[in-house]
Amino acid sequence: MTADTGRDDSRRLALPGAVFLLSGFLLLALKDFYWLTFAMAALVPLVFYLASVALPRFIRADRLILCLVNFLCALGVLALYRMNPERGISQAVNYFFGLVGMVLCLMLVRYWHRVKWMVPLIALGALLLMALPVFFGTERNGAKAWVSLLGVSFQPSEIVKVALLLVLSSLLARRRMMPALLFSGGCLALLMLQKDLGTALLYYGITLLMVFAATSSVVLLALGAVGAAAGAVAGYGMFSHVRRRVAIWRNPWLDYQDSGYQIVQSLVAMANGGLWGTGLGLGNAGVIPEVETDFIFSALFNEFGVLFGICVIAVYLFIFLRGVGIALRSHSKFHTLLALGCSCLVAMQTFVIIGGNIKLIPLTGVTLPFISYGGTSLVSSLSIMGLLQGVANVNQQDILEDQLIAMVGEEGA
Amino acid sequence: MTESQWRRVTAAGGARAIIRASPKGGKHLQAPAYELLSMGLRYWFVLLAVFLLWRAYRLMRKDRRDYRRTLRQLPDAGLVGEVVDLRENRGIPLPREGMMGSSRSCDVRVPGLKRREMEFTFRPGRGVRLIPVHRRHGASLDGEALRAGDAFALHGTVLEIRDQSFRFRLFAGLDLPERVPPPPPPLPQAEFPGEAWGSDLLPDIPPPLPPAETGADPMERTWQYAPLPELAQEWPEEAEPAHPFRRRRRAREEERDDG
Repeated sequence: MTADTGRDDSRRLALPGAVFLLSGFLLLALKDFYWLTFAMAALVPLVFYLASVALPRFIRADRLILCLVNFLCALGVLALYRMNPERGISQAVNYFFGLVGMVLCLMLVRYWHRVKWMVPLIALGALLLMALPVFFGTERNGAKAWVSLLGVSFQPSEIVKVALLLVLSSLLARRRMMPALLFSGGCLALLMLQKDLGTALLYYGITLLMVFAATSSVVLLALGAVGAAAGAVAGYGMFSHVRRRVAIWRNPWLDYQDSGYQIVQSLVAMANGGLWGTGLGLGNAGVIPEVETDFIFSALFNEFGVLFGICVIAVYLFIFLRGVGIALRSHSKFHTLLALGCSCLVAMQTFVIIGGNIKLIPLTGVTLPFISYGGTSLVSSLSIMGLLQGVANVNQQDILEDQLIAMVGEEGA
Repeated sequence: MTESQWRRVTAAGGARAIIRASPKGGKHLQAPAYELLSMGLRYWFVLLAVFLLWRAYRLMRKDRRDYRRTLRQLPDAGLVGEVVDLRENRGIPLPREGMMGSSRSCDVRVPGLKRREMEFTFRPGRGVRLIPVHRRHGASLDGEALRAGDAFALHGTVLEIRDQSFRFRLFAGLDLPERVPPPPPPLPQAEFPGEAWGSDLLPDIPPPLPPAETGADPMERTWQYAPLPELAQEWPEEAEPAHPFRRRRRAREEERDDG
């Protein structure tokens, strides 16, 4: 495939996304005639288009994933700007930092052979970072997962996700099961101390999947599933907020004015949206508590409708399938595990939060990747996509070299 | 007034009618007009999202097609050789790393073996490292019991697992060092001159290997000089491939295999 064809494909893919964002911001600008909204209407689609079309010219990245991820991020900026302009602008700044993180992670995978000696240091640093909230953390929504440093508040467990994927892939590729399990177990213990059960669920699930992918051992998978069931029962017995969330999940209408208020409002907002939505700027999802973080999907559902919600889920599905495809095309175990881990982590997180929003599973406090408000979450999610892009980059390089070798061989013959 | 002027005035009047001064002093679109516009654009947004997905689906399909075409053009991409099942006399492509066994998920699938029999990893310059999954594997390499950890199969190595035999044929062995011809064994001392030259007295010495052809393709040389397993242990591990592409690739493979 020539470079020009690739660029044309990127343009064709990015164009509907850019038009979508331009239309959305222009519509919001017509509502208030505020200069900042007009500026956003010009800037956000432009940044989206450049990040999707121009960026792959400088870094050999997977165009499809890049474009879809950029679209979700820009959609998040649009949804947040509509609800709270300050947060929308803040999210746009986070998006920029996330893009920088993505490029850095891509480079990290590309030159992993030069820094792989740092795996023990990365593991140690990750555990120390994860221990910070236990001692210096601030509690929000029942979880003590936040740390404020020099006026900047961040969630270490989001950053450690990147380290978890790198460390697990590196150790499991070398058949070092015990260090991998010890590292993961340490992270889980610290998460339990922070009472951040949603993130702990993700860490546990991703470790189980990667161990299964590395060993193909059904016994280990079964043991892990039994462990998860035992952990869920123990968590239900130990933590009162877990019991409350399960009760809300079973019937939110029993206490719809207090503990069930959030989920009831979410369900009402989604039902109000209907098939086509209420229209951008006409919804009433603002009444849902934590709508900008945990319930952003309900807000999208409310204003854009069920059909659009299904499209958003399909975008996540495409990213997951593409990630698995990258993993299968990879020639080394490290890269296969890394790509699989990245795609599964994003897919699992999406399932957990969307499932919670639509009352399919009990609600857990994780963010919707790329869309929810949160600097650490967005930078972390984009960095994970950077790791995936790095594997895609290595695969493309392998293919190019195979072609070159074949060409040289033919010339030699 | 011409028709075009009339249209301009009407449009301006219409715009003035729907854009009113807001209480803050700025302007805003009147609520009914905005509602109408927003509700109309709902379909536009869904259409664009579906269009984006359609484009993404098309790109995925195209990319898969291109990838398959590339693989057809490069049938050896990602492979390091083949394993020949000596019982059935058929070759099975050997990827760089994977699992050997009878399970459908195995990279080298051989009916008759255990579901997961042996893990293998190609190490440039050393051969294919074999790691048995089970403790009681009953495998041997060139007649010697296979020891986990330092079992490397080279080109020509015969692997026996219980009653099945396999021979490794490696074409990625181009990264292996060229075989150094062993020094010929000393001739037996002749009791009297001329006796040693008699053909009936000569020991059964294997013919010496021909010298390497300069300029020949390294892959050809590897096939020609299939290294013997016992000699391989003494060879230098680092051998610089001739072509820069191969040098670069080998460095990357080594780095990747280590970590």
